Amino acid sequence: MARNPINFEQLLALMPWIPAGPVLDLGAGAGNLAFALAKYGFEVTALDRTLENSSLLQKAYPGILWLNADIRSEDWREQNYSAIFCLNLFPFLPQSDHAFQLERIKDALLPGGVFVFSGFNHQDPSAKGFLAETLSGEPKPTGLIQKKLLEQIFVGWDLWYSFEGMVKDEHPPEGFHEHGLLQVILKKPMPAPKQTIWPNLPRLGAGLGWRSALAELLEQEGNADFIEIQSDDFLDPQWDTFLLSLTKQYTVIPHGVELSVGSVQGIDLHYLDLIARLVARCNSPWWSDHLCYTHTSRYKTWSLNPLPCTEEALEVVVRNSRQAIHVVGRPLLLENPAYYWHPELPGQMSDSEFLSKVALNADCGILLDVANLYGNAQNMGLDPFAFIEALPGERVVQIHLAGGQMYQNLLFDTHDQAIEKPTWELLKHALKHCDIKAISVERDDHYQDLKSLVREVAQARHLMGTRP
Amino acid sequence: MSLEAWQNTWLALMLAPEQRETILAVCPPGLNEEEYRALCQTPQARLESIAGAVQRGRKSVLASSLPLSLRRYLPRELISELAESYAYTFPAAVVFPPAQGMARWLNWLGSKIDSKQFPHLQDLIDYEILLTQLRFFMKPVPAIASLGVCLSPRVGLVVAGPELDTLIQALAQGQEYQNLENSPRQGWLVSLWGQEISRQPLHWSIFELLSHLDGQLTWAQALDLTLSNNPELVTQKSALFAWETWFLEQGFLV
Repeated sequence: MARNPINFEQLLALMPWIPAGPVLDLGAGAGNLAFALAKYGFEVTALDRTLENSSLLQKAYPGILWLNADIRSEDWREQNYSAIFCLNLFPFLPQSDHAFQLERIKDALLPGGVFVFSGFNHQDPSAKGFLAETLSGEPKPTGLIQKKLLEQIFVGWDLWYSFEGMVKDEHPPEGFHEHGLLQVILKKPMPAPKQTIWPNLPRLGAGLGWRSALAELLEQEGNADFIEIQSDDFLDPQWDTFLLSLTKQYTVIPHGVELSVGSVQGIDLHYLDLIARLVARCNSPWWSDHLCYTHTSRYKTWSLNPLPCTEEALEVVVRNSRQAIHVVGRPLLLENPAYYWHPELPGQMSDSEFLSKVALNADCGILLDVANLYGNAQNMGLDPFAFIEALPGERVVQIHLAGGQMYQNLLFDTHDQAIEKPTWELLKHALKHCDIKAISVERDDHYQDLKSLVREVAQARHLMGTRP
Repeated sequence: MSLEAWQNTWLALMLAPEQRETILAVCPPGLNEEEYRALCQTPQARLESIAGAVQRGRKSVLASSLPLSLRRYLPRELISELAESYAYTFPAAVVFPPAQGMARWLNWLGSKIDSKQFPHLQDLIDYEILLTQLRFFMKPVPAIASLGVCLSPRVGLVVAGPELDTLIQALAQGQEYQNLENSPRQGWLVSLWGQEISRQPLHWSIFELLSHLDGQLTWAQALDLTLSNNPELVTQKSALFAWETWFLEQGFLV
């Protein structure tokens, strides 16, 4: 039990952990919380039975749906919510209504949704008063919340915060006074992730990786069908308002570099939590990272180092991938890496066999980077067409396109050049053999000719057979 | 195969390809003969090419992830030159995600640049490092019971020139910042509120008092410590004591 009551600052600080979806403020009062939620980027429904001038509020704050209604009405029940706030409304409800209304709140929350509740307990000075009333206006004893009732109804939910005690308050007409409060913040459990039905993933079309230099371009409709973001740049909640705005226009796919799915010591659970939050924030149909390792228990690099294609490495990747999918709760795609050197080790699988086994054994999808395949063909003499044909086509969900640069006779995956013709040929080959849902163009530098970049996206869209 | 030994050896080679002979002088523990041979057969030129590409990427991340205030304060060429120098001098230093390696990178930057030529540099570095440590958005956790108070995780202290706020705002808006005073030194309270950052100058006595708050001391105890260090403040004791209420109301203390 915490020693401090929930305050406004804490409610603001909670916002990053509210997943994607509309939020509901029951008993919105003057609307301070509803304003703050809308400012953060949420779609907000604010309900209060004493709302004055709700039509004026609606005009002034069109981002908030103002409902002049009672919690006992059906008005707020048309949709499900990612968060419901119910702050000190229950004292005005007869105690006999509490269980039914709490059950309705429970049902209305989406899986993973957050419930923030504050009510008066038996210590409150109004305990012997008549704050509550029936729908017809008949006064009833103050509705004091029973801790046991909350525990019964929300059994199995994650308890993030709880407070019970006396709290000083000051507002007219009483001036300084105290309340006896019982407060909780609860999270509705997520169902265990189901096995992915790969053909059912949505078809997103042709998209672009978001970079600040492309922000203006992506504000215009039609230049991309979806957006891929670099997960690691957006883990901080400071980006949430931007992401909530972006997701209104586009499906957003987080693509990371720091998962290090091949690390023997396992995956950083804190990092996975951050990714889970980001994926929930964007409500992404899948997320992706690379089939590689970036760090060990001794060294931390940011480079994407390919794994030897051994049984031991397969076991590590499958174990780590399963854990990542379990924690994040959405399908994971792993990208084939760029090779600049390939060890000659006895008993190794081919890289396509390795990737296929990872996908099938860990229930992962594949993000096929055909620019990496072209680079591997140039640098290592690997056969990119045979690689594509060896993959389980149903698992190849997304394609990456990019252009690289030569340094000292090696083609590096620099993402700063136009896509080369052989890369387009590999895309065509992949489209014949695989059930591709999305193609994205990666460009990290050299933005002088944005029209060409848009043409590349349009070309990918054309080859995929989708329309803008 | 010991995959971990393989990965450690490969990363050691990537971080210091010029030390390949030393790293591979003997078979690293955990590798078998075939694995050792495979690593030994990697052409030196290829190893250096791969490591070079990694360091070029690190340089690019270092330059682009520098906070906006510093990117506007320092010439682009100087940033590029120093990013390259840092990337190669410390091949294993964390550069990504940027926040994790930022303090080390900024401190090194500060040590390499002439403070006479860039008099506000250290203030900006201290301020940006402080910002990387502040947290506003947090999943609620029950507060740990303690007798003392400490600064909220969304609040921090920094010493800088008297016009830090003007400087930061000017840099953020791309405006003129020449001729700003850099002394006398001044204590600042920097706080986050959602995505907004505010900077408030503090009287030195309050700054010192706040500096003592580590969660172990109460406000009154921190005040006594401040007074014993600075006897000239004794006449201000009741006024300083009263400030606790204001800091609590602002949510600056927990």
